[in-house]
Amino acid sequence: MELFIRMSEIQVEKEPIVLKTVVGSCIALCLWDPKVRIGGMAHIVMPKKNGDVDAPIGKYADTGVRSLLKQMTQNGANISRLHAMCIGGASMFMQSGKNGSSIGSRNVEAVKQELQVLGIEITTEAVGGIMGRKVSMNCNDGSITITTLQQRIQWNN
Amino acid sequence: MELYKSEEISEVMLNDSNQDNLRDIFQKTFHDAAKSLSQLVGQNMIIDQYKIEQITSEEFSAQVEEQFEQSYFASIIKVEEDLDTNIAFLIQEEAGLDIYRLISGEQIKNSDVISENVIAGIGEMNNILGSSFINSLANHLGITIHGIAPINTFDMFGAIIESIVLQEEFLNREIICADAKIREEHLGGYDIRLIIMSDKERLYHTLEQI
Repeated sequence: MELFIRMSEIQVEKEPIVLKTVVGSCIALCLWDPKVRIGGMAHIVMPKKNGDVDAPIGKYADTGVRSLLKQMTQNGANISRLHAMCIGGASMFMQSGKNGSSIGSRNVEAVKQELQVLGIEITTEAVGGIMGRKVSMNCNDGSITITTLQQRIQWNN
Repeated sequence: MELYKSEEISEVMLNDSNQDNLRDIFQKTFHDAAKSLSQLVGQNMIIDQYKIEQITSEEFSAQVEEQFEQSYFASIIKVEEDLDTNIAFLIQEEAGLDIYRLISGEQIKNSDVISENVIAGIGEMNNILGSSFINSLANHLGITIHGIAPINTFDMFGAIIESIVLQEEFLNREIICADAKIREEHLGGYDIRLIIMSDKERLYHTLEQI
């Protein structure tokens, strides 16, 4: 069984299902506890909440990372055992924010910062670049599949 | 043709006259773009489906998630100074290859590998469509519109949509989203989408001037 994670959504699963999403500049943050075999995914859209009180908790890195962790631990995961996988943060159209950096790179930075504060080490990372990524996480074995169209393009030399 | 409205209360509500104007303007500009495409490929391309919504980025993204994993050729034109708008032309992979064959006369085969030349060729077609669309929009709105040079890519629909909707000026607010599908009049078969995302307040003020 597969479950698609939309923008701003967080999903934690004890069942052996596959969580999947497609990200460009967003981040798919996946956490997995190998002992209790619980997996979770957050589709993080932006770095900071900045007063957006009505936003879904999973939308921003500063609230989404903590919320995913909370849901994982409430379901029996232990923070010391967690594998963290950070995927996305592309700058597809090189669009820059007012401070000159792309939304994608700011998302990567914000998610990494939150994980560092929480003491969670990133075990797998596929970030940056200019192309989107399809991400699938098997909640039974924690395996991650990342697909991009990069390898399908034959660039002129 | 229908005008869909989000159920959420908007900060700026377009009145009936604005809505009529908007429908009219986008319909004409979409048709002008389709006409340019017809001339380019030598077939009669028509607008097949068309809608305008006041919607948030997340709502729009949720509507189209079934296509997220599909491969599309895309060109994005960003308009900043005069009207905060992103204009995206998206052509589903097989349709893009069909149209490339028509334009170039090159008998390329469907394959796992997409050459940079094909991306550039389809991008060039999109540039023509984009220019036609922007000129038409500027004429109908009675304003000058300066777009950045189009950016061409080949990627998953979901990733392209994310890059269109996740703009600083669109965050946490409703936007105007016009979405049209183009197909050949008799043969059908092509899946070409023109998606326009525009800052609602800027568009509202522009409409008030008409």
